[in-house]
Amino acid sequence: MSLLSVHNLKKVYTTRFGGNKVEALKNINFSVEEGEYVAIMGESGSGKTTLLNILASVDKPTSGEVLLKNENIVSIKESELARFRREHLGFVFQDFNLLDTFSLEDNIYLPLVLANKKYPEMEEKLEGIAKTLGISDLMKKFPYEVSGGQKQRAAIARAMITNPDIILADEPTGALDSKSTGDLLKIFEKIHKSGQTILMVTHSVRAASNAGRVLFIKDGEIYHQIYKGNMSSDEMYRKISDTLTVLLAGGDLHE
Amino acid sequence: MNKSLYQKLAINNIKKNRNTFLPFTISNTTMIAMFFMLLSIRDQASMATFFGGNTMHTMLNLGVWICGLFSIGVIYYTNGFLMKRRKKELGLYSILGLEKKHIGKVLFWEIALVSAVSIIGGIFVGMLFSKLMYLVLLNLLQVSSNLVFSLSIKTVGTVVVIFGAIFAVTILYNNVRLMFLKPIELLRGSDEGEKEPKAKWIIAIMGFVCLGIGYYLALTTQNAIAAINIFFIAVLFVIAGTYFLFMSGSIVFLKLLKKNKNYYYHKTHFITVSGLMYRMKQNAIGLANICILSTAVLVVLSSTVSLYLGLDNVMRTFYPSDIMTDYVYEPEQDAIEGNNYIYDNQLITEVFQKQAELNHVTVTDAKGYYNLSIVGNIENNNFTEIDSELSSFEDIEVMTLEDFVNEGYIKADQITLQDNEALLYSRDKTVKNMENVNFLDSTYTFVEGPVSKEADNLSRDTYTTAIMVVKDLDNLKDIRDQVNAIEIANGGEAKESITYNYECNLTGELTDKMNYSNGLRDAINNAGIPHVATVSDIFTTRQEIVGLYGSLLFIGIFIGTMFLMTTVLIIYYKQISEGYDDRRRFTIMQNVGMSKQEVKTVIKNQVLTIFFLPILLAIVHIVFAFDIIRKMLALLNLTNVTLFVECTIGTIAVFFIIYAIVYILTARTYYKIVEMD
Repeated sequence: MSLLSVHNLKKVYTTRFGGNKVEALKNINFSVEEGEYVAIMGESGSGKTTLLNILASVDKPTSGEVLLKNENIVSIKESELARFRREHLGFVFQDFNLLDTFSLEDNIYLPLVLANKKYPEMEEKLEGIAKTLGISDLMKKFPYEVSGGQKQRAAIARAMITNPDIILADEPTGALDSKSTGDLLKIFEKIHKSGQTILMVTHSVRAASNAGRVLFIKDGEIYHQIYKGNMSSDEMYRKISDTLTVLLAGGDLHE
Repeated sequence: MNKSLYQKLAINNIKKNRNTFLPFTISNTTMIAMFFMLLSIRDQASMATFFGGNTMHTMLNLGVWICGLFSIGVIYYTNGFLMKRRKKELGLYSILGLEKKHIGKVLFWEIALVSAVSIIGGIFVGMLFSKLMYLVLLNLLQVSSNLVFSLSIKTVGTVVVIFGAIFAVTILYNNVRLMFLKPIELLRGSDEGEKEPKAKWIIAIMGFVCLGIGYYLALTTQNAIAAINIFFIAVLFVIAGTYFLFMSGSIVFLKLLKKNKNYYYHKTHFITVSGLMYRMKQNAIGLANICILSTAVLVVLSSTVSLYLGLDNVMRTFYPSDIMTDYVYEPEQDAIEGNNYIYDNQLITEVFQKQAELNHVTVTDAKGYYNLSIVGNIENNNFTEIDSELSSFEDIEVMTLEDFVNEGYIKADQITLQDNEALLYSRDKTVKNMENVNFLDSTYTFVEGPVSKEADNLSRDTYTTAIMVVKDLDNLKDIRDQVNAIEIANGGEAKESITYNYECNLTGELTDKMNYSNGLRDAINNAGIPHVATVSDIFTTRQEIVGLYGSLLFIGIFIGTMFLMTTVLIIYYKQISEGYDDRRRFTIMQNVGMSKQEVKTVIKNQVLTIFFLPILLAIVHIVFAFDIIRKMLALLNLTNVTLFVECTIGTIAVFFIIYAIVYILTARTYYKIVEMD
């Protein structure tokens, strides 16, 4: 049974004064297995962000269902959503989304605090995660005192600390320089190896080539997918690049 | 680019930024309206001639100045806020290719439009309400007036010129500021991280110490006259304490909360505490200002309201009756001159009545009585001369039983007095329990009698300690001689004398009453009643005091309203601008699993604290200052504590309600801003 499965997902935006309807997602179907590392690629306007927002339960689809551990997140009540997000999902954003009024430590604690966890329990959890991510020494620092890569690592720690079923990452390397991107991808690989399910939306071929599977989305539909299998990251990189070229050219990829 | 484009842009901007432009326009309109009203009322008052008009004119003039200067400050502040808020927007314009002079033109049109609306609206509202306000003022001054209230073009002109100039300077200022800004600076938001404030223990402790000293001084002052000087010192300490506490005490307190991990890591505390810490750092001075100004307004308003409402009480302690006359009773002198004159109630009453008919008023509550005031100390039942230090003394009013009965303080059949017997009535216990009092060579024994409570009215001023009732005029003369003998024995002069008093109330028109009083002395002299000492009436003094207190109250309410409006405006703006800054933070928190309900709770906590902290501290200040203010008011003869309590509570309540309404509006707007996606 899949950890996450998406069936017939459709999202139609209506412009404010009626009339024009824009189909952001036409008919999306896919599933993610437990422990998988999936990247979603697509151009701007392809519907990636809409898809991610729906998976993150921030937005509601027009029709279709999203099952996370057999629970349809589309039908979760508004009042339950916050709790649901806290318990099952972890988020990593392009611009880190750390609160600059909190130290890194407090930023990471935030979801646990919202879940009413006791301090000693939180402290214990943080210790292990901070060590894995190599930010143990930075805990008392504030976001404006550390580098972008360090901020993103803190953001990952914040996403992981609740032991979420799945981590949703939105362009996690988008705001990082090349070296930090490399470090970060290594970290993603490391946590993936430890069993964490990751779903990442990205523009970056380099980031996507690290994933176990890449989904391509175009005009609101899943257009193609590539499994990494036994390929090396370099081979994967090339394959993704080729696919993107075809995608851009508008050709047909169904083999 | 053509002209109408700038105007269109300006109008568009105003519409888009109505969250900030609307309060700006409303506050400007209100201030212009108030200024207009004060100005036209002042000019009107300078034409009117009535009692207290002079005092009023001075007060109004002062009010006009305060109002004007205040307006400048507020416009400067709110404009600065507007500009800061829109830095990014202006930066975008310059990126889009508008030159600074073009942006300047847009800015010009914005302020020009807003100021035109404000000035026209302000004058319109001012015109609508100035007559009403004038009537309110006349009513406060208790002047019945059939004066015609006219608005002058001159007033309109003055307002247009003054505020036109203020806005022109504002536009100029904005453009000068624009010139010195680089587009990149305009674009850059205020997103840069800000350091967490440090806890400054010493300043926090100093704050508590200053506040403690101030409160201690206010609470322990016994002497009413010393109270004035001490009050001033206490106020300085409290002001310093307030600033220190807001600057540092608040942060120290929050840091302590943060240190307590079990408290801090709780879903609402966590965000509230850290949010407030930054809030307090940015707003400490502003909040301290609000606290001190609120305290000042509340103190001034509550004391002027109680002085004004307590006016009749105060006046009655000076003038128990509307018309008071007294005559020196000098039987010895008269005897030498051969006319043994005993004051005849009948004759004086006739004079008073005739005078009343002449002036179309009616005499009520007329009464005549003899009295003798003796001042001295009583030790071991011996009446001695007053000691030079005046630290404590007895002021005893001596009167005859006949007069006492006539005034209804005791019934004739309830008591008989022999020579050298006296009835003592006093609220003071030490005097009450005495059995007799010895003068130089006569002793008066006190007897008990069922004296009516009304006799309290006889304690004319706060100093009278006892009423002593003796058998007749001969006894009164005896006491006078005794006291004079004591004074002569001590090397002083015989200065005590018995007076005959005749007083009454009048009903009728004020002018008639005053005419009555003005002609009274002549009427008495013409009737051949001898030794007239003073003829006084309550009206003139009352009118002057009403004029003073009434205009004080009027100005107080006016300036108080204006201040309250400004305070809430400033807080509103602060909250709104923080709302924009907080928007991102709350979005993040919702993403990591904070529910809307929790966001609401946290926002409520934060806004509530920022709003009500200054007011709560102001109320604490007032509670501690209450006693010392009461003592100072007692110097002005306002001894009605209940009235002062009621006025204070009432003022605070009104202030609080208005404040709370603005709080609700602000919290709502703030929430909308934060929630906007």
